[in-house]
Amino acid sequence: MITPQDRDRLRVIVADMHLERVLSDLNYLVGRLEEFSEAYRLKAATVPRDFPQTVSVTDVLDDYGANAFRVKALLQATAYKCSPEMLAMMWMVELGADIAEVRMSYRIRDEFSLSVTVCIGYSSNAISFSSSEIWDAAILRFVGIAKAGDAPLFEGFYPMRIA
Amino acid sequence: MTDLIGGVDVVLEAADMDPQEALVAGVRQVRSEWPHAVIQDGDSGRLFVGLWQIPFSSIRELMLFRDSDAFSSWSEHGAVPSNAHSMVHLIAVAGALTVVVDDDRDVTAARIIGSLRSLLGVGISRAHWSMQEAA
Repeated sequence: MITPQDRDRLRVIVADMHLERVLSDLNYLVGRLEEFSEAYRLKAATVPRDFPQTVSVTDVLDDYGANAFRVKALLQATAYKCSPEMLAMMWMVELGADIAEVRMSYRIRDEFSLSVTVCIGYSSNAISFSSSEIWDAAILRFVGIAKAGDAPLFEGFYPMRIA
Repeated sequence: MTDLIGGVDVVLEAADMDPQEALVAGVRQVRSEWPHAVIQDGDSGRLFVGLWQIPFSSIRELMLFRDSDAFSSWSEHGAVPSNAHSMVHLIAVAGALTVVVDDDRDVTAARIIGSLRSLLGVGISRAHWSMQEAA
């Protein structure tokens, strides 16, 4: 449960991001962020000790002042109804993990699956995330795409501009 | 008198991006080459180990040293030839990210600059999401 003060901060941030119409149900948003927080905690159990092991809703709100881009990408993905597991993956990448592998499968009106493995660059930790929620395909709208020489690179997540 | 290594400024266009996002992209690219990089705020001298520690909104420039040995050597000796190819300096301003390396023909530097150019050039969505349409 978040405090009334944090709830107010969240409302202000959502308005600042021009997301108040798609995220008008603050109860949904808070619930989703709490699920994301729990998903992150479970997945971060094996990250190196100096890498953030948990993230609370308050942590996310606190980060808006210092790293607004990070919070914007997370809340925009939440607005796209991405699953808590994929939100946790995005946040881990935003904090510095690398996108090591992505596998996506789709058959019309039949099935969708997405699995993403991230690693913490300076360690051998690999953490896998998976989903069969079609809305999770929206994470590809945020991913940075690059080429390192001729090699493909998915490099971080970046927020969309909202008009 | 000791010769000092020079610097090459490579200015990469980052149109329609917040400077902090361009800086994040730069840090990520350098760290993909140097996973143990030591990161230093170019203004305050504050040191960071991980991306999660950096308050990007208050930072304009960062220096990334290949590892702690490189950082120690730069701290002690500065831009001497033995420190070549072990530090990248990133400076973000509105619409551009400047990457300062001592030789842009160095393999690692060229790879960092090339991948950053592709990322900042076309790899980050500039799409505008209209809330009017979404609603």
